[in-house]
Amino acid sequence: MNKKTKIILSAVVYLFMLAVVADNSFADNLADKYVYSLFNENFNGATQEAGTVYDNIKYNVWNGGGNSRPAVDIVADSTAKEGNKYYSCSISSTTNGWSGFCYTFVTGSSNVETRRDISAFSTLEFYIRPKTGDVSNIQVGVTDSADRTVSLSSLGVNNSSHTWQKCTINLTGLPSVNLINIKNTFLFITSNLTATFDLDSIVLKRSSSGSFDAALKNISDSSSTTKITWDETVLGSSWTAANQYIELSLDKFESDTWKIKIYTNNGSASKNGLVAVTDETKIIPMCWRISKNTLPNSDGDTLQIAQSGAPNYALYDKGKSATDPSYYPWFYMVDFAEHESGDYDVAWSYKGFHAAKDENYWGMMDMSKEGIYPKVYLGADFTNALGGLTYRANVKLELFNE
Amino acid sequence: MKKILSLLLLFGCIVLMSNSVFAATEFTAEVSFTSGGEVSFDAVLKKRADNTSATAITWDAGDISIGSSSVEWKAATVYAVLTSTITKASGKVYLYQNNKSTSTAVKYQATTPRYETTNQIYSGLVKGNSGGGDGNYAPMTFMVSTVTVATPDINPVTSEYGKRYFIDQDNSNFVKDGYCTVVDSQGYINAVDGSGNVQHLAKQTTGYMYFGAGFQNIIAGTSYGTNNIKFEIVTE
Repeated sequence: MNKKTKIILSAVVYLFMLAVVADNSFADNLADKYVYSLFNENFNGATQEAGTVYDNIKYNVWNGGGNSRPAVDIVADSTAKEGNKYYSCSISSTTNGWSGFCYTFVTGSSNVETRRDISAFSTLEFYIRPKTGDVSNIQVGVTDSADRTVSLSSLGVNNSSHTWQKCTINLTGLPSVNLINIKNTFLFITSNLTATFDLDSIVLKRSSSGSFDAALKNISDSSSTTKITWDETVLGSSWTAANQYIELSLDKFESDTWKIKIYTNNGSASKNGLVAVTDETKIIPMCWRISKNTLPNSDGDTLQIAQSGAPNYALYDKGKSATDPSYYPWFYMVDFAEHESGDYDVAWSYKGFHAAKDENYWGMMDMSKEGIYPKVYLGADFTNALGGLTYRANVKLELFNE
Repeated sequence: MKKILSLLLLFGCIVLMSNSVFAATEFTAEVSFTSGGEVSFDAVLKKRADNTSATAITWDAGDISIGSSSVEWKAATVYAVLTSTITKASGKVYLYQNNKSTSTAVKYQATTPRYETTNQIYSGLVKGNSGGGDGNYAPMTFMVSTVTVATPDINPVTSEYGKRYFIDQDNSNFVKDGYCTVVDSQGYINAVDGSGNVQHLAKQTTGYMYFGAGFQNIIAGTSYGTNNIKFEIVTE
């Protein structure tokens, strides 16, 4: 046992646990996911909710020697690398003694530390933004029977650059590591160092690619279905939500600037809605919104749609606000042929789900228990719809890197 | 040459990498309105002078020059207030004449057409008791507006846009198409081009129809009229 391991084991006595009991009912994301989130607001895994960590994993922070315990706070602001939250870390250590933090695997509700097999994962990836002090010698890695770490400097971190920098640890390349017997992951340890820095988008990733899925479900009972529909009674009605929603499932992390766009794929820019089958000049405008959970929800979000007046004609939630608000969660549908250059057709991206127009993206860390499966709802304005016609649209969702 | 090709290939790769699609899913959205929709239409005549009700489309005789050898286009003193609701794709309203009709008074009945090139034309105002024929018609026009017009310009020659000729169901080139359609599910029709493409006015329930006629070589003591102007409401 090397010196470092000894110190950490002794530190267990002083362990300060932020975690509460893991939820047994929670999915085993470690076994199921290609991308396992440790601190990422868009992927499932050990996602956190106010310091509580699920999926049979707990978050630990400790201090070694006579040093102060590292401060690891969740901060929300627009400078986050991913989503809108990040870890703001502060270490104040003037003597030797290993302080740090990590995620420790536990066994269900017993909260007993255990070992897990993470050999399916090939890399541990995260972003760091150095602020003060020299972070070069901070060690990062995992613990099996001992700590298996590498320094930030070996990962290419430029301490003098106070910008987000990506670190990728090749797990199999960690010295003497046994990935089928891991106790701690994202082990982050320091000694005799005073520094501040930020961390974000901490994930384990498999070498093989995962998937992006979109499942169509009926609003009435969440059963699966194959077509987006409205009742015939909507003829002549203004904006009305469809009877279905699309549930998104993302387990594929190929790019740090990924986006999921939604648009009609009807073949021309003007066909950005439901197109009459027998007369393609007749088009019903469509709209969409995305929510982190099903609608209507306890936040008062509804599926009632209204349009504001001139000059914006923006679409808002009439059930939540009877009059024109400043919050517009519904977006007009665009067609692929329009080649939208902004983000008006972006439903979900690395910044979070597109909660409202004007760059309102929200991360979904608070969905840790339920899982991160945002829902896309669709609407259409049938004011000028005509009897005797069938209207149809191809609605496409696409994961891509811009 | 080799260098240039390499540069082009590199550029191609950069473009490809900058916008990579990883996965996509497509759904069909569909809604069918098989039985719904409404077609309703009404037309009410009113006097331009005071907006009171009228029962016939008339012209002011004092406004028409006697013996003029050139065509004088004159607006009728009466206009029609149209009211329509068409929410059915097949719904529309045709407007045309039936001057050969024997179901009304014979005074303005046309039995003989006039000729425009080789087409036999029966539309317009018919000289009383003439039975039609060349020189015995005054062609009629109409225009539709979304607002009332105090002095409608119905001259189709000097101000062609938006002015449309009446046609008769017995004209040899008569077809029920855009040329005789007043309103459809997209609203009132303002103009029809030479290819039959229609241009609609801003969609609204109410439209205002103004009438005109081209008078030429009018002799004192004669009258012109038409027995049968028909709005045909198409629902299927």
